[in-house]
Amino acid sequence: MIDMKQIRENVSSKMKTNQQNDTQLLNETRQASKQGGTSAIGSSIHITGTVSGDEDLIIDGHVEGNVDLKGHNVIVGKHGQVQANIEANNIVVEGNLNGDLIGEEKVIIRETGNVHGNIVSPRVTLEDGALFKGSIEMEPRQMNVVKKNTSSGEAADTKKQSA
Amino acid sequence: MPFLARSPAKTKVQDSRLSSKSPLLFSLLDKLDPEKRYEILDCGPASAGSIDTLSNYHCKLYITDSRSELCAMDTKELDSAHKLNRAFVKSLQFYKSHKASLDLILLWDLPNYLQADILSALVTYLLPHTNKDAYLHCYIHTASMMPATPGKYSIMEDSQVRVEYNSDDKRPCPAYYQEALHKLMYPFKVKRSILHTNGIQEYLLSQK
Repeated sequence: MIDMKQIRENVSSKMKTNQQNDTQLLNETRQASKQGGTSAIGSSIHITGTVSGDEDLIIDGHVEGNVDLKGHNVIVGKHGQVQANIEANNIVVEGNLNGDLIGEEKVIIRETGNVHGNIVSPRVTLEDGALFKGSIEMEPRQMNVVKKNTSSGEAADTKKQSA
Repeated sequence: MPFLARSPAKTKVQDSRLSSKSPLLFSLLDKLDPEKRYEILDCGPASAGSIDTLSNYHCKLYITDSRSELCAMDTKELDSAHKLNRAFVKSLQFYKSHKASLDLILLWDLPNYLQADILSALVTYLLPHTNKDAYLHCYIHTASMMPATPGKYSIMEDSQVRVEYNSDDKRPCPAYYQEALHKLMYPFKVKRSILHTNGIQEYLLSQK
């Protein structure tokens, strides 16, 4: 049985910590963009089709189709207009998005974000003022920690084998 | 009447935001099995607090943000079962071909604002997407007047539910009794109810 009292006591502090981490993620990705480690789709750019690659992406323009950036971060900026499904490690939405999101680690909808679609991610954060309509498939955080701890040994073994 | 009328000075968080205990909702959340996967429907708008609290469970959370669409539904226009079903599909997006398996339906204070026939039709529409042991949770105003529009609810820490209203305007309240709810929400029956000090009755219903 879940200890709801403890969970509730931890929710506020978790939310504060999460928000700090989320802001850090956003800043790091934007910083990487300036240094050339991240691609950016400018506000006047329209892309139709599949976007894939091996680096982080900031979308401030229009994208229709699919964004496949597994293992990387995707930010839909305030001016971003996206009608696409996105699969990435971390997904941050500050603009408008119509599509499904698969976040391997987390999905964050900022206060200016407006998302219509379905989200699958172990962690979903919605800031006050953000708009969302759809479904969210979540796993409990406590279970994720346990899973990560138990699977980290397996992951290390797999890496060794593949090396 | 605001959500907590007795001591608004103490409970007022920010302008129109008020908090209140919600023992039936939290007793239900306390009973959720962390090993099981649940499907939960929240008919209100997305809220950070609810998502954060429910993310502690293995669940699929449907957020339909459908208050305005449902409140605007009128049986004069939607005068056939087909038209009603189409309107519900557009608003809630549960399709016959892709059934959900809901364990908990959070209607919040919506039943007070829907036409009685629309409320019955809503329950009928949701039924095929609902587990037999599913629960339905709602708040019913019992005073003669209630806020003009439904509130935006958010599950917070310390067994609190926060509600936010768009304005201080009031309108007459249907003040449903338990028997009326039995009829309107058939086949759901009232399992437990608590009258809050502010005149709002919290209901937990199930089919069993």
